[in-house]
Amino acid sequence: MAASMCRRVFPLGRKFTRFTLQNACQSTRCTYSTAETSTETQVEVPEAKYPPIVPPLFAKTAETKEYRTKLIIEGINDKPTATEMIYELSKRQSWHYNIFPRCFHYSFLDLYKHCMKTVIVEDLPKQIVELANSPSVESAAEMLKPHVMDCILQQQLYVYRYKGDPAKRDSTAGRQTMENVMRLLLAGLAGDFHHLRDSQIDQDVVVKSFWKRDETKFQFTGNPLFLIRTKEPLPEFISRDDEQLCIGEVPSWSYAPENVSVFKQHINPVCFPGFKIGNPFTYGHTQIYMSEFNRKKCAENKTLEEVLMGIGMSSSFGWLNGLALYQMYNPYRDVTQPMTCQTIVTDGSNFSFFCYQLNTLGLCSRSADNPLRNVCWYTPDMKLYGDVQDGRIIDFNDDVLKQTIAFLLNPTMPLEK
Amino acid sequence: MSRFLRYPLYVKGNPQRRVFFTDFFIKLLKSDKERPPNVVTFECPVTMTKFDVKNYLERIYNVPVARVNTHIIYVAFKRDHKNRRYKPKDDFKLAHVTLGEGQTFQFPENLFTKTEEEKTDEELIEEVKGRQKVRDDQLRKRSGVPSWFGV
Repeated sequence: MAASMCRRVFPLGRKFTRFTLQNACQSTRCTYSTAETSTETQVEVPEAKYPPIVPPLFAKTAETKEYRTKLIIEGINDKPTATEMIYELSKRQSWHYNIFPRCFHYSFLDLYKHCMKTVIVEDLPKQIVELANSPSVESAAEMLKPHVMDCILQQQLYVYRYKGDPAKRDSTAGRQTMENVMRLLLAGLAGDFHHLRDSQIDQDVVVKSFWKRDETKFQFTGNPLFLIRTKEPLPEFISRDDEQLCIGEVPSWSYAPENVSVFKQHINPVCFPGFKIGNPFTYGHTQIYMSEFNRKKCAENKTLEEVLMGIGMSSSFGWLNGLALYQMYNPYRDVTQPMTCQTIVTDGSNFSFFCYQLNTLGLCSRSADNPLRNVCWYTPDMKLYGDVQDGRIIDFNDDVLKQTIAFLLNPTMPLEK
Repeated sequence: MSRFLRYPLYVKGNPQRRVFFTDFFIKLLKSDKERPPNVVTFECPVTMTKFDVKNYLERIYNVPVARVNTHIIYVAFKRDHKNRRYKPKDDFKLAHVTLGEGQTFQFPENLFTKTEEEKTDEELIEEVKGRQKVRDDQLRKRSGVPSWFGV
């Protein structure tokens, strides 16, 4: 308004501009401060805060997809109890590859190693070897040896055996022998070792757990003969920072699991490590698996060692994975410290020993840059006794008994917090 | 054993000492997916069992077989111009054979394709005709309107 009035009062030609004139007037009037700027106090203006930019929920873009999976994972991790978290993980049916401890397909172990991200090491870890040669184990073995021999002889000579299928007869005999030997060992050792006394034992349960590896989902189902669970965990076998074993990649298996006779099923996955939620004995100590298959046939195909390794590795991982799920860890929230367990695979006379350390659960494609891997130690097949002749056991192997007792006597440690 | 007798013990007529060929024929296929180097895919008749495949490969070709996995492919019915149902191809069985220890196999590439020099004049003419037919079909779809005319 003022400008238009000014124009009306002081008319100027079209070729002249008024701005320079006005500016000149203003500079002469000097209405603003001419003091130097450095002496002025700087007023702090608070920085503008905006809510985070969220992609639209139902668009078909990569950002939206990522955002939605993030929301789902947050939903899973925010659940207050293990029951709710496992329900959230397993409520949708989807295709799961069924992993069983026993697999006889040629070169199936490559798939097992890949899907559990495990490296297999020959020989047991140092502490277990030392423990097996310690005086406490030796005295315990000396004390229990005659009883174990008696037990085996009783089973071999006096118990009525089913006369039909020899394979069935042998498996039943092995199972019953192992049951009795384990009861004997536990009864003999629990008095002196409080971690055994303060433990729970599940017999002949079904162990189930599920996990995800590179967008492929797996369901493990195993049937151990014995599970020994304790309130306190076993100490780790090696530190998780060990660069030789715990850090690195495993050879990848890029083919479909059907190529090694591992087939899929459309199921709700199940997590059940042998007990229900609420049981205070939440840590795995030792498990015993029966190897009920035709050893002769496997030895002919030269796959016996591989099959045994598959049983020990998959059953250990499956159990520890189930226990980790019960402790509120999941594929998107990795374990804070390694979990360990010991596995004995036996048919009553042949024994293989496994130690497993679960370093990481982050196996899916979201944690592709995860450097950790799991480690499995094993000893090859060993015979407990050679044969039974004239009511006597020939070639009784003390090392096997010592190793079994060393597994049972491996002390637990309270959690560091 | 299958329900019907597939291996006749006695065949009428003389001479009795004869050489019998197999009742089956299996076809080596290029597998649809990427498979491990020791897995080979065969197309077989539906009546052929896993044991038949194993024996076939071991006895005739001396190929060690570790495991055979089979499944049957159902070929869906189609309708002809009178709306009658017909099978374009019989059902068949796929056998994924895992070879024995140390054996690998790779399906040869470009097995039946010929180079330009090996082709005869007739084949070349057929090829040109084929190409022309594709072009004609495209034109026919657009009712004779050339492809450069349009949005």
